[in-house]
Amino acid sequence: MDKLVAQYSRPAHQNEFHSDPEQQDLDSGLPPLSLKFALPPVDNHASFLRAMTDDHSNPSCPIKLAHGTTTLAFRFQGGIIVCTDSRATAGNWIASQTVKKVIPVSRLSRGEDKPSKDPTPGLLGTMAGGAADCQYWLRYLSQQCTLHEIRHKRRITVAAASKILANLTYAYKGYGLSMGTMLAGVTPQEGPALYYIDSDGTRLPGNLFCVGSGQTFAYGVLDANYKYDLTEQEALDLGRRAILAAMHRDAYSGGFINCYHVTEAGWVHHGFDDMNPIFWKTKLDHGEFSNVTSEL
Amino acid sequence: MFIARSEYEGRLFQVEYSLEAIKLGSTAIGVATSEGVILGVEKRVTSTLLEASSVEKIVEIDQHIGCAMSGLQADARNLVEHARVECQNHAFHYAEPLRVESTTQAICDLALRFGESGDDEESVMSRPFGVALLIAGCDEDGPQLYPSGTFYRYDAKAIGSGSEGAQAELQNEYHRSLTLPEAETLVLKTLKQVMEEKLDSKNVQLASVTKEKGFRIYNDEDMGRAVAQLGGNQ
Amino acid sequence: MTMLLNHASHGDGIGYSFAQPTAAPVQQHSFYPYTDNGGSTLGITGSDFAILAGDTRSTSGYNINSRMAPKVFKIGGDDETGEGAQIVLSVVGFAADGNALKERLDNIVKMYKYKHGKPMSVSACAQRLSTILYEKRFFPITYTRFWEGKGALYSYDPVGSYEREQCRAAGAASSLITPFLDNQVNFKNQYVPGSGEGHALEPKKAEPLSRSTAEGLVRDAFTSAVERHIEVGDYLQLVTITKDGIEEAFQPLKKD
Repeated sequence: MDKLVAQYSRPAHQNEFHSDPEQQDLDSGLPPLSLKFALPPVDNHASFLRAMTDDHSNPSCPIKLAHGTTTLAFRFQGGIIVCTDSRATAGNWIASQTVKKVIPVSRLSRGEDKPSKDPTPGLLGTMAGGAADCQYWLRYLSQQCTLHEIRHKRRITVAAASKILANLTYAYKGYGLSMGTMLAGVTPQEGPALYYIDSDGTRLPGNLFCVGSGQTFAYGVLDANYKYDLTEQEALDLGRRAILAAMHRDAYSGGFINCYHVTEAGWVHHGFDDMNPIFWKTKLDHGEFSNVTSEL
Repeated sequence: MFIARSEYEGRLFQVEYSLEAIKLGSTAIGVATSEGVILGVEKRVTSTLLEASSVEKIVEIDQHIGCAMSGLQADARNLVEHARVECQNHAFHYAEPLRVESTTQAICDLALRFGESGDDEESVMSRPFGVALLIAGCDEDGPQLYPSGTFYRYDAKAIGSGSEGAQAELQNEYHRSLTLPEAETLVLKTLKQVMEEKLDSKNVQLASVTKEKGFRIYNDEDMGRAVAQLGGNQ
Repeated sequence: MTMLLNHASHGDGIGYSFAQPTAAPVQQHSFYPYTDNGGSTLGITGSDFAILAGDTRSTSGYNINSRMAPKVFKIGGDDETGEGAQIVLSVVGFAADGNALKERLDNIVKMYKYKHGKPMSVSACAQRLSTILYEKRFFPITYTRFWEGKGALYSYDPVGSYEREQCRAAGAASSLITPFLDNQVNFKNQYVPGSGEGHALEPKKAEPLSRSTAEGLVRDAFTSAVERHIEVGDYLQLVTITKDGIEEAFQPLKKD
């Protein structure tokens, strides 16, 4: 009985957020970490994890996780463009050249996404850092966004969605998550909205972001040519060109150029194209990359 | 303290009480056809001051599943929220929609967690839920309709205060070759017979679940069309 | 074996970029629960089949501990014979973790069938394996693993990121086998003869392989790997999944 009284005699504001365990169970928001994830039997998980998985500080670490990337996204008058490379590296080894680094944050119950010319409703997330971290937590975000949509009968705003993710990465700060992600979407309330969220708990709104080991190269191209008034085609071309520059100068980036356009109706996929023919076309037709010889 | 005590004739009083609570609820009807399932409820607009559009007795569980309720709305909220989370958790782990039967099973599991809890179980409710649901959905087995509680699959089912009369009507009128518009009319016609108020497009609500469009609640325009259709048939 | 004190690469030489907590017991420095049991595995898919293969050698350092320790497992079938299985899992790295993972997934696939009254689809199982792996995000179980079923092949990193692919090699000899697969399966750096000069040369398009071609490639990949990698050898376990079921065969490889 005392328990019952205590439950209802707390200050009202305590019930608003995260403090009511029942509500939390119902939302399956964030159960205590130990329930969901196994932890090594040592005092300092983060340093254990680092010793086992960080190939930068310890090149002979036993577990090599996939890293290295160039991703970019920018707002323009027609929505948002999201472009990425497709290379995954583990140390010096190229683990994959066909990684899909753009992750839809759409309804999960659709099952597998079928290729379509029509826009698919939802937001887009990008993947930089640990591939599994990004895939898992953006999937978690999709789940939360879907629940939001069903409960409130309207799509979640990008601001709210990015806040869910940022709260999460902040809660797991120090556990060794590694992710730098951009969340892009167009909603009636916000218009085109773009946020950068990373595993430190950072959450920044912005017009234009490049994330990953090749970010500086992409910024160079993007900053030089970016205007808010670009047409859709110009914007797609600029995104591709910036990724191409990063692939050329960053050894950890390469493979295929993956391009998406987000509008209020949803996102449309604009190709997953091998960089090699695009590189030669850019050089031979437009006279760029003149430091590279085309003689055989 | 709140033991589900077995009294004479093996009846569980608490369960009987909750069944009584459901019999007081507004009538809800579901009809399954080969094209999809139609759900219909009476809204019981008890006052002219009540905003009819805020009475929400058919809700979405997931893209492919909807549910109509009768009885204590607050209890229904709990069950529906549970079902929504179960559906999303399944989609999270298996990249596919949860089957309608499994969703019903998940709701029934929660509905049974009353009485005293075991040592390692989560704390549970002191009483059974005082609400009945009609769960309609489409999956790889086609359109399906399940009532909550004892879950047998039905072609057509009525719950709530007018359920006895409505079920008899459905029994007479149902046949397997019903089309979706015919099912709409059947649901409205049956509701009309058991409702105390005169049926109009404001005091009933319809929803459909089809393979192509999933769960879709009827807006004012759709409701007007369906009710007009009913008038035209008689 | 799993608690190597002063393991060569994890003694004092770890380049932490942050201060180590001084209160931590000395013993914890050497908590090292992983052993590499070597071996390689390889998967190729065609339009209506999928092949998963692995060698059967089990090593620990320079010692060969077993010549018949298969690393390709049938999931969701009979416990003894594997009959009725639709899905195949292969794991390289630390074999104990691999076995534990196999049993976990096997249980989940079976429970799914009882609970939902239908066999688990390959795409559902692929997603589930990813979340199983991620549960150990902060205490990873070892190395690359991948698996497949009915014409689909998915590969995973140790903590659950996954991707559907045409072909993939993993394990000790993956760096020997992968370039071979790039060339022979995806036709990387192959061009259509006579299609032009220099930059006009047209790349050869990849197309689905026939089953006999794919099996031939698997055998060639492993016989070559055995020649150049000490941890690969003894037997080749070749598991082929078609719509009619699973066929399994063992073939000898060199024993040195």
